[in-house]
Amino acid sequence: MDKPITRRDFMKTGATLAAGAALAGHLPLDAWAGAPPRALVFIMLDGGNDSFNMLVPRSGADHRVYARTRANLALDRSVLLPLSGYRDDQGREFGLHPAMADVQNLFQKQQLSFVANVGPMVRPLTRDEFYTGQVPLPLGLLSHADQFRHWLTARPLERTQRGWFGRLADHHQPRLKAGAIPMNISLAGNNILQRGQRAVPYSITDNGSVGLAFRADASPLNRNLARALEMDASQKADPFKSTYVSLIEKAQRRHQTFSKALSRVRVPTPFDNTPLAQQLKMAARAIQAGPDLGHGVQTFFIRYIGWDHHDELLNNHQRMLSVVSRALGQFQRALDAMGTRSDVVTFTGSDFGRTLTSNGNGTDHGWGGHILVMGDAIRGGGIAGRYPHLELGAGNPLDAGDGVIIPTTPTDHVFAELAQWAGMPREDLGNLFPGLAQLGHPI
Amino acid sequence: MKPTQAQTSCFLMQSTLGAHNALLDQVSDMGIHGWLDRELNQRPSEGEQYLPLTRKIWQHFRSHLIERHGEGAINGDGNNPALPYKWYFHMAWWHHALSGDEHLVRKRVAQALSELLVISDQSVLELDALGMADYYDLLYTHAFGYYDELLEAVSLHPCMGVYLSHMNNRKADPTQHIHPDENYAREIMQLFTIGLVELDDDGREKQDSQGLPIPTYDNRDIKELARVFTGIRAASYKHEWTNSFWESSYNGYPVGFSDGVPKAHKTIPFVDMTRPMQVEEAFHDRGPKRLLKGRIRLPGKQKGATEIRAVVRALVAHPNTAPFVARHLIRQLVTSNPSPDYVAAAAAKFGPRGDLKAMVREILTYPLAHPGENYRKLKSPLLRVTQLLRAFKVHNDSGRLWLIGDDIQEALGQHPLSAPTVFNFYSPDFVPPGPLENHNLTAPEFQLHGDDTAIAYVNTLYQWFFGEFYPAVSTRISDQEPNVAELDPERLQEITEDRLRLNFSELTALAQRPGNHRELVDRVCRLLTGKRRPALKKRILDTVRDYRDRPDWVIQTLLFMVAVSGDFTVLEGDNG
Repeated sequence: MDKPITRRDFMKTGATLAAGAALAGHLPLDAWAGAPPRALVFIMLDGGNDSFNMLVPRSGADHRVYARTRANLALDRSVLLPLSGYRDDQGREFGLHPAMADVQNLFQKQQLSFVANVGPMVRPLTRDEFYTGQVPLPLGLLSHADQFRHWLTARPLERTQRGWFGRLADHHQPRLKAGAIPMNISLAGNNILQRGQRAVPYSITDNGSVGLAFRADASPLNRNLARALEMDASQKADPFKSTYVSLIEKAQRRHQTFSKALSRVRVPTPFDNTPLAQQLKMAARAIQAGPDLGHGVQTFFIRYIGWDHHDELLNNHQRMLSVVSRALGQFQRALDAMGTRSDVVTFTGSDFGRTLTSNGNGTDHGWGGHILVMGDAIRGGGIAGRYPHLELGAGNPLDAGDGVIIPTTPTDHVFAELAQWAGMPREDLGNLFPGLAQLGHPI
Repeated sequence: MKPTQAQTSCFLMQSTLGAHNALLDQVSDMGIHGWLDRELNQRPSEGEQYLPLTRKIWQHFRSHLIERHGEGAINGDGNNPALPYKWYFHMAWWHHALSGDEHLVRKRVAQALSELLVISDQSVLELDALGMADYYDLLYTHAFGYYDELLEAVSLHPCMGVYLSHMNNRKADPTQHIHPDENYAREIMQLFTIGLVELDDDGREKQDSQGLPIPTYDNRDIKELARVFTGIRAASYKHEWTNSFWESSYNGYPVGFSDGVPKAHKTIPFVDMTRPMQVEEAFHDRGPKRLLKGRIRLPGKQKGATEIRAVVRALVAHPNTAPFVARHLIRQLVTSNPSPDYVAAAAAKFGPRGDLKAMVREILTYPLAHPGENYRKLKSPLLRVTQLLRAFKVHNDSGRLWLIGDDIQEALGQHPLSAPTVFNFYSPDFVPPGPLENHNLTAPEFQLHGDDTAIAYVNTLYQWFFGEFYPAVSTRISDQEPNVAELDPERLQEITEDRLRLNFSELTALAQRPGNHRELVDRVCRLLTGKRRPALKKRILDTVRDYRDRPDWVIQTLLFMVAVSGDFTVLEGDNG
């Protein structure tokens, strides 16, 4: 990398992303105080999306470099879906994986942008620094468990149990009344992204919340059965038992609130029957019900598992990118129809990008990769950050070996913009992202 | 000193998939150590292996399929080939888990190992129940063997080769920018042996001079090790049906990297997933290799199989592996938060080759010798289900305990060999907020106790005990999807001879006389919670008082209230 990333760089190259001042972080706090409900929807493409085959250079010379580097995994130029009308500051044109027609459409309608070459980082660094170890690297770089965690926690030097959505909720919902629904809603079960110092996620399924069957009708027997979940002194003193029981009780109280609020919401547009699409459909309902749930800001966490394509990359990628693309298109259409389009920003993440080089039939763990950001609040139709050059070896200062690409946009920079849009005061960003200062972010 | 029945009950909850009262009496009489020795010294029984039963079940469905729809339903162009889908392994797993009183510890340890050496049918492996059953047989057969032999067999098992993608992995080809697949090289270190950071013998993390953990390996080590796992391919082609592009005479034909068959046909469902993978030397990297700061040195020009054996042995002998595996098995079997002394005691039995029998014995007997420590874990949903069903000798008229597993998995988020990723169902350092975290404890199984799954567990038991809707069993071909077993739980509940039932005869005898209700509650609580003085007792007796003359209602209520309580779901080892 020629020079360290600065916020100005990000803003400049990221101008396309920096719409309506929201992602630009120009939003003054008093404007936030009167802001309408807002929701961040995060889709984790779990396992390491090979995003260098999702967003591909399409200009002749750049595509030739791409094809040479990716060898037997390269997509032919003719199959790429062109992102017409967009050129980056180096005049490069780009195309999309052929499975992503809906995403192409969203891009053309300026409802979606990409951020190129993102990854969790401690400090900007060069390849030499990568090899000499002078610059601290994220713990467990290139391994799933740690990289996944860093995306959720934004603390790549720790293995902590708290994530940045959780800390956002600590800010917005510092005290939660009994039975109230946490603003952090998970369609992926328990997770650390949505857990803060006090905040916890609320887990639902794509059918909504789950309630106790025996509470559904209040017969004397059913009332008595509830006594099985009462605690005596010895159980209260046992942290395992008291946690087990109190989580059931809390879940039941929340179910009563949540299901009532959602019963009034219908989604007018169709969704595929894939888990991802159904989960987004449920998110659309919960967003609509947000005011009834007492939510100003909400977050949603969705995991789409199975992107670790060491093998059979081309076939699997085709199938799974199609699921993503269709689900995003359907989600955005639903938000449009329900009148919540300006309240929602959806973005993807993934453990890491993958090696540019092939292992014969797939690719291995890398570092930087590209993500999608969708919503009215961003200016769509662009690529923020800097798309790397794809030559291998000494000619490419970002190639850490075998086409593991060193990221040029830290996840923290992207997250900081999103958090501010979701009402996190600028002066408190350091609580969510303690690495920002070292990453050249002028907070 | 003879252990109390409550202690024995606790021990059986740790060491088996579930006990009933007769077994509890038997082990109490024999003594825990005597019974455990007998279990540990029993040879694995062929009759209880998973591949033969899976194959038998699959053949059962195939023959029914042909009966119903003709030979064309199996053989022919363009039709569905009626592959050995994952459900046939599910059925075999449950049948073995729920029947018999032999090899109980072996079955429990195999299940615990399946959450360490993870493969999952949430992948293309769903097409090959035979392969998965054969993989499970490795865990079952080696459960009391040596970890190095097990890990070598696992490394060469085609299911692992598919799941972690070292099958069809070839040496580097720099002209094509192709490098060896690093997946297995990484995970065999991170997840199966040495872990991420250096450990003391008691499992605590070592620290460098600045107080930071010390990584066990870096990416260069992974790249070196990836070169070892090259040239690996399935042993032979195998295909289950004949059509225009496949003749049965091709079956058994050896797979070769350059035999002209497209690469897509060198994996599931076109190869034999029950024979160990082989190394084709021309595609194996025969250069010298050096990794882990010289702990592993391979001179080069060696056969692939020789190198794989050498690295597996070296990894198992690495000082991290004993505490790493010990901690996993202790967390699975006994407690989420073992003391350093406990880990050290178990690790000390492991030895350079990984003596699993000695380690398992130590893990299961240590709590008896050290009653003062805190032994607690949340039972995984799977173990709650097996324990409840086994406690009351689940059975059906057909004698086929072929549970499809889908209903259990959907409600509770867990099924053997079906984790969402290689990182298993829960992360070892997970802890929910609240008192557990405040006490600095970990509680991995709570990751499966969210707002949705916590409630779903209670609802499942409500359906079981009050609706007699137990997990679904299938022995018939589906009408709707004629190529597979019937899998719709609602329809399956209508097939009387397959419906599961619990044996309450012993309980009914006590329930018939209200005067015996105290004893009834005591007996159930002792079996399911290991408690002599159940805290729940009074509440249960209060609840059943209104219909104490209805023994069936009494039993339903009692079982539900015990099974949803924290006294049952939390496994406690320090009861008295």
